[in-house]
Amino acid sequence: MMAATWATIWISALGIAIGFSLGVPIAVASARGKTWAAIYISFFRGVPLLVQLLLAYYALPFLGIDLPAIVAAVGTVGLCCAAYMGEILRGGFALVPKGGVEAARLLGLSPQQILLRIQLPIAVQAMRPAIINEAILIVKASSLISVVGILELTRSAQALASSTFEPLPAYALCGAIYLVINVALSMLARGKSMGRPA
Amino acid sequence: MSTILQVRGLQRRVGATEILRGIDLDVTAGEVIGVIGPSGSGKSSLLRCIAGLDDIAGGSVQVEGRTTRPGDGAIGMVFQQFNLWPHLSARENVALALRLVRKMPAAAAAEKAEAALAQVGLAALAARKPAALSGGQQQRVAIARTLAMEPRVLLFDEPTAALDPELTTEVLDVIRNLAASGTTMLVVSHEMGFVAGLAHRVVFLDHGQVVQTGSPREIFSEAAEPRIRSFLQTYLSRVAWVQG
Amino acid sequence: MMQALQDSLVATAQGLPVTLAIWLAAVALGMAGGFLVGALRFFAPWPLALPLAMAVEAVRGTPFLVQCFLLYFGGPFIGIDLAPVTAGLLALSLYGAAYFSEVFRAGFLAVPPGQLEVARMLGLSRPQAVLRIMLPVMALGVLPSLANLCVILIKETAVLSIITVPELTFRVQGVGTSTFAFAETLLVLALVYWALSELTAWGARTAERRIARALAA
Ligand SMILES: Nc1ncnc2c1ncn2[C@@H]1O[C@H](COP(=O)(O)OP(=O)(O)OP(=O)(O)O)[C@@H](O)[C@H]1O
Ligand SMILES: [Mg+2]
Repeated sequence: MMAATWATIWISALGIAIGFSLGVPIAVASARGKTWAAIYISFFRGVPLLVQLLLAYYALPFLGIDLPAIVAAVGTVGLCCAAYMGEILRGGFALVPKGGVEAARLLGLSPQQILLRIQLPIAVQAMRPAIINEAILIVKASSLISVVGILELTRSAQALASSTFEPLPAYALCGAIYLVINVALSMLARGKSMGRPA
Repeated sequence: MSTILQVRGLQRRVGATEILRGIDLDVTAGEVIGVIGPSGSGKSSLLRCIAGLDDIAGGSVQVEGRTTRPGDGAIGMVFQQFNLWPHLSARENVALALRLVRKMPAAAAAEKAEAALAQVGLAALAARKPAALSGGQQQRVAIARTLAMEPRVLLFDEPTAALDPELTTEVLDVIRNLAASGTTMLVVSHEMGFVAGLAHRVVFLDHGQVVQTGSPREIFSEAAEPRIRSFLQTYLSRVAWVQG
Repeated sequence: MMQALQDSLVATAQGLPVTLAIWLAAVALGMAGGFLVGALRFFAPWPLALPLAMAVEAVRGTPFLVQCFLLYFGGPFIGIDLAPVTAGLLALSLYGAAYFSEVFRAGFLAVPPGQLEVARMLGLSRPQAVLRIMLPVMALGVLPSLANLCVILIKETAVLSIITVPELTFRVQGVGTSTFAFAETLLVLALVYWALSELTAWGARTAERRIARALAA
C-alpha cells in the first residue's frame, strides 16, 4: 500500500502538471473567445471523468490509437484537469491589472514573455486557493483510474479487501491516506501564502 | 538644437468621440515639457498615443525621425498607478526587462538595477516586494524601472496623483533631478507650482487640442486666453481653499 | 455497428431514468442535510460543530469511489447491508451534503453581521431576523455554487456503475462489453452526459436568474 500511495501521488502530480501546462493556452484562448477552447472546457467538464477514462481506454484502440493503460489514464486526467485549470487561470488573468501589462509592453517584453513572466505569476498568486483545490480534486479523481486496472491506492485497497475479506479496514485505511495527502496539500497552500508579505 | 520627439497632426478617436484633434508638438533634446489642462482634456491620451499604448486615428509620432512602436525602447512612461509587478521585488522589477529584452546576464542586470534604484534613493530596499513599499517608494521603483532601459524620452502621467500629499515630495525631487541632468521629458501634473518651476515649456490642452504653448511665465502669468485663465483660477481657488 | 448504436440508445433509455432519479434524490437529500449541517456548524456550540466539521472534511478529503466501496462492501460487516441503489443513493447524498454544507456555511459567513444587528434593533426576534433577513441575503449569494454542485453530482452518479447500480454508465457499458462496440457505445454515453451537464447548467442559470429576480422584487 506504501508503493500504491506513491503511485497515486506521482500520477496526480503528473496529471496536475499536464493540466496546468495545457491550462495556460486554454485560458488564453478562452479569454479571447475562441470556440475550440469553449468546447474543450465544456466537454471535459461536462462528461464524467470515469466515462472519459473508459473512452480513452476502450474506445481509442478502435480508432487505431493504442496507448499503454497508464499513458491513457494519466493523459485523460491531465486533459480533464486542463479544462478546470483553464477556467481558473482565465479568472486569474482577468484579475491582472491592465497597467502592469502595459508597462511590460512599453519596456519591450514580447507577448509571450508578458504572458509567462507577468500575467501567469500574478494569476497563479491570485488563484492559489482555487488551484490547490483543483489539485485536491485531481488526487481524489485519480482513484477512478483503478477502473482501468492501474495499481494505485484505491486498486491496492481493493486487492487488500478481497485477499483479507476485510473491506472495512482496507477502504478506511485507503480513505485515511487520501485524507492525509489532501490535508497536507491544503496546509501547504496555507503555509505558503502566509509566508509571503501581503 | 535637434528635435528628438516630433508629433504631427495626432488624432485619436473612440467611436464617434474625438479625443485628440490634431496635436502638433516638437520637443528638443533635454527639454522638459509640462502638459496641463482640465480633467478630460486629453492629457493622458496624448501621452498614451505618444507611447503607442493607444491607437491613433491620424498623424504621426516620431522619435529621432523614426516612427515608434511600444517596446522599441525609444519612449519610457511612468504611470499614475505605478504599475509595478506585484510578484517581483524592486530589484527584479527593474532587472526583468534588462534580462529579457536587453539580454543582459542576470548578474549584470541585477547590478544595473541596483544602480538605477540607487539613483532614486532606494538602494536599501531593493529586495522588497511592491506591497512592502510606500506609494512614493513604489513610484520611485517604477521610475527606476523605466530609467534602466535608457529611453530617449520619458513621459510622466500624473506621477504623484495617487500619492498621499506628504509622499509627493520624494517623487517630485527625483523628477527634478532627472530634469536637471538633461533628460528629455513630458510631464502631466496637477502640481502647478512644480510644473512652473520645472518645465522649459508648458502646453495647455483643452478638448483634445493645444490651446497655447509657451514658457511657464507666458502660460501661468500672462495668458490672455480665457480658458487658461479660468482653469488656473479654479485651480488657484482650490489651493487657496485647501491652504486657507 | 448500427446494432450497437441501437442497443446503446435502448440502454440509455433504461439507465437515464435511474441516473436522474438518484441524482434528484441525492440533490434533495444532500441539500437538506447540507443546510442542516451548515447551519449547525454556524450556529451551534463547538462540541456539536467540531465533530461535524471533521466529518465534512473527511468526506471532502476522500474520493467518492472509496466512500462507495466503504459503504457498499464495508457496510455489511457492521450491519449495514444495502442494495446497490440504496447504497449509491446514500453515498451520493452524504457526499453532496458535505459539499452543500460548506456552501451554506460560507453563505452564512458572508452575510454582514450589521444586517442582523439592524434587524434585531428594529425589534425582530432572532429567529425572525435569521428567517427574514439572513436567509434571503444568503440565498442570493449561494445560488451559483449550488447550481455548480448539482452539475458535479450528476457526473458523480457515473461512479455508481462501479458498485453495479444499474444507471446510465452501467447499462451502456454493458452493451459495450457484450457487443465489443466500445467506441460507439462510449461515445453515445459521453454525449448523453455532456448534454445532461450542459442542460443542467443552463437550467440552473435560468433558475438562478428567476430566483434572483423574485428575491430582489
Ligand atoms: N477608451 C476610451 N473610450 C472612450 N472615451 C475615452 C477613452 N479614453 C479616454 N476617453 C475620453 O477622452 C477624454 C480624454 O481623456 P484623458 O484621460 O486623456 O483626459 P485627461 O486630460 O488625462 O484627464 P484627467 O486629468 O482626468 O486625467 C475624456 O473625455 C475621456 O472620457
Ligand atoms: Mg489623465
